[in-house]
Amino acid sequence: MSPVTEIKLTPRLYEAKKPGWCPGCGDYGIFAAIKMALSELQIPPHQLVSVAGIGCSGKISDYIYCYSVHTLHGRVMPVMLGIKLTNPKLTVIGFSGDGDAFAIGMSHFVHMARRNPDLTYIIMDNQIYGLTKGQYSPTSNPGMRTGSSPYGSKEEPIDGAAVALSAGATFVARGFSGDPKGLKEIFVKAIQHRGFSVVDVISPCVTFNRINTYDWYRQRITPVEDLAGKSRAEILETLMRYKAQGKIPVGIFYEEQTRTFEEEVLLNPEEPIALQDLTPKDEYWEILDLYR
Amino acid sequence: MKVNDIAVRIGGQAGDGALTTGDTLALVLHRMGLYVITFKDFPSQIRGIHTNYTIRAHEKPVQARPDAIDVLMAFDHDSIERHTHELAPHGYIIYESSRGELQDPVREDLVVINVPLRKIAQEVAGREVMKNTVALGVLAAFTGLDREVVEAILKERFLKRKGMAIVEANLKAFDAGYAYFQQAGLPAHHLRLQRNGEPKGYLMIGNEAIAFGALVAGCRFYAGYPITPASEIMEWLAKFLPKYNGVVVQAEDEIASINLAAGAAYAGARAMTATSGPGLSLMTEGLGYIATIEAPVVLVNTTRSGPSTGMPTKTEQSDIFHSVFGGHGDFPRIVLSPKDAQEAYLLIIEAFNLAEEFQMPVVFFLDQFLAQNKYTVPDLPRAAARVDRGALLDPTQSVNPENPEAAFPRYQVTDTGVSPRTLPGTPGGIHWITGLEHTEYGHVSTYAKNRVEQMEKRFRKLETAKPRLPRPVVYGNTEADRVLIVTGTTTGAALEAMEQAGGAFFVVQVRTLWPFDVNDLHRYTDHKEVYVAEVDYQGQLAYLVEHHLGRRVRRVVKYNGRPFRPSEIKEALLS
Repeated sequence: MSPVTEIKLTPRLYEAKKPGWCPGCGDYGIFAAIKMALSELQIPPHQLVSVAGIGCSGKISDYIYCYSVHTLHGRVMPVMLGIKLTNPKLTVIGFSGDGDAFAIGMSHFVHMARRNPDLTYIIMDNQIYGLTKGQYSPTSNPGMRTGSSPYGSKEEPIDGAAVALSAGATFVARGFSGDPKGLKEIFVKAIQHRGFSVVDVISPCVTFNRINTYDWYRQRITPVEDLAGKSRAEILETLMRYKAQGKIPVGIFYEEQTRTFEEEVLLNPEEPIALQDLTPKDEYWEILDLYR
Repeated sequence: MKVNDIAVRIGGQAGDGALTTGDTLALVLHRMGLYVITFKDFPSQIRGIHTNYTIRAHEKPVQARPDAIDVLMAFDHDSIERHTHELAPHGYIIYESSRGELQDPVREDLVVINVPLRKIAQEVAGREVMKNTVALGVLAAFTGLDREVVEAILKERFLKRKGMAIVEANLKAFDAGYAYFQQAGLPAHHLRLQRNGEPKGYLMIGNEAIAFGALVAGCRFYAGYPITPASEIMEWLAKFLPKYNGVVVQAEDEIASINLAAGAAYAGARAMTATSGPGLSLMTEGLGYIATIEAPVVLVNTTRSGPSTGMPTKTEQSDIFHSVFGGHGDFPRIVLSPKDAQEAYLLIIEAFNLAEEFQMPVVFFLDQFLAQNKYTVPDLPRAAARVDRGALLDPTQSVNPENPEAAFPRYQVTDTGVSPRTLPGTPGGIHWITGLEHTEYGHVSTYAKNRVEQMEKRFRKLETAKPRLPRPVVYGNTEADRVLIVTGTTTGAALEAMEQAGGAFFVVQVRTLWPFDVNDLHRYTDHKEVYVAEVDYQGQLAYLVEHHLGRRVRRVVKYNGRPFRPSEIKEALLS
């Protein structure tokens, strides 16, 4: 970059437009935290790809300033992987709601954890379907009465962090949008982590979820004990123990450095597919000797 | 005497060696300089039920399944019951008689050769599996199948991997079969195979030609989920793409596959996925998304017999509607349809260029027959290889020298409908992409004026593309008063039918199913009696033709899971 074009990458720079979430929505805290994290890491917007799904959470794709992709419902993961394999030099960050990640997109989520590409996946979890005006979600608690569960939800909630841990994600954390500064710290580490990072963020819905409010969460949120050096199984057990005590553990649960999917499948990740010269080579026709 | 014109069917239980024997025979005939086409009729089960494989070879290029078979190689009695009626007059049956001879000659005119193939193989080569080679020896004894060619192929297959002993054992088996026929004193009168110069090109299945064409066209990203009859494309690319720094992802399902391809195409790869009916259904949401974000993705649909799971290993052309119209809302797409392996290579290269020039999905429509059967392909010309990346801006150059973080109007409204495109990572090219309706910069918008402009812009690309699309091909004498319209593999049968009918009709092959070229079609159909032949129930191509011509046509359809025989088409048109 030449000196004239050098720009201080302030948090403000990562905002394309004023968000239109409901006043008080937890997603504001996530947006603030990600802007701070990106500024701290000084990632140029043109080298950053945001990929978001459908729902209130997915609106972030219109508000964030960078190469921004808004996918179909639940398809954040495969689109992210397609981008990353084509150009591993890009920083790719995904955003999904609890429906996007754990209902319609669940299989992609599990399979991505298995592969371990260098992607950061942020789940904006409000335990409700907000954009469709209030139906229970895969993370809603049993008994929750909503438009689609007038007699109370009969399903057990999914614990996204536990799923990520058991499926093989190499960075697993949980944060709270009511604490943007703490969340920023987690985001910075998640983005810096080389491998599949999952951050499950509690993001209260102030309009359709009158049960799981900021206060409700604050009473239950507990910073997790030091889990360094613990195995996946031990951590899962710890998380379940907190849950049994009615607590919601937050913090970085697990981090492990291992080879990424790109390193495994690309001949030369330093030479992105996106920048390759595709002029046909004579040597291709040598392959045809197999068919003579 | 029929010289260099033969159709052999090999029948047995799945796992019995019918497919391996067929592949060997196809290669021998190909190496003898004949044009080969095969017709695999196998079950969707790995072992234990009936399977059969037909190999047809001719001095001239042939591209249809044969009207009749000359030789039936039956590894079991079931094969006799199923296929005897398809034998030509005075045809041969080579019957595996280790467990008892075929007693009742099913038809008086047939020559039945009872050969204890397994026993002979065990005796001379020490292995029952070499029964296949014994059978080839028998065939050679009354046709002239070239022993030298057989020997060369056996050496290629086994010398390195298994050693000379296996090659010699196979040759003994071959010679034993040959001698057995000679001692039997049976007539060998009317089938004659002889070398016809050098091999006429390559012997490959349609899926291999497509995969090779994709590599040539610069495809570096493939995502797919295994499905019959598309899997060979993935397997081929999985082997070769990594050598050229490309990548193949076996996805968790077809939804992931097409979205992986969408992400890759957006980021700058020439990306492809391939599937068949059930997978196409899952991919349809992605198809509309790709058209809306204007990404270049090639989707190969190897159609099999539907609906639902249908008959996975059987052919059909019944995905014409789905390929052309599948999806919610209005969006542009291009649908190409090749007739054989060579044209598949030529058109897949076009598909990648069209996808990128017009920034829209290209559906590559073919059927199981083309996907999985072998063809002698005269050439896969180097000259056809061409990479045109359309309005893609150089990702290594800043679009905005003043500000690398500047936004860029990715969906700029232009006269052609095609907008300049930047890849993520390009300085000054920042934009938003979304399946929602959007502005020139890609921001979400529901304004009426913007909606109309963007919708019209997307569809304008289709008009711009029209002169670039493969036009119909006309065969035969256009003076004839009947015209037969076909697409894909039905073309091969139609051309042979036209010859059989002495030019009583001519053939128009549609190569672009969408957008439909009505001008060319009018030229050939006005004041003619119009027939449309296709392998489906509803006559989906016929619907397209009728809609565009504004008149009814005569349908010739077939939906038993097998491609047309030429005579079936001839009879339909002459009756």
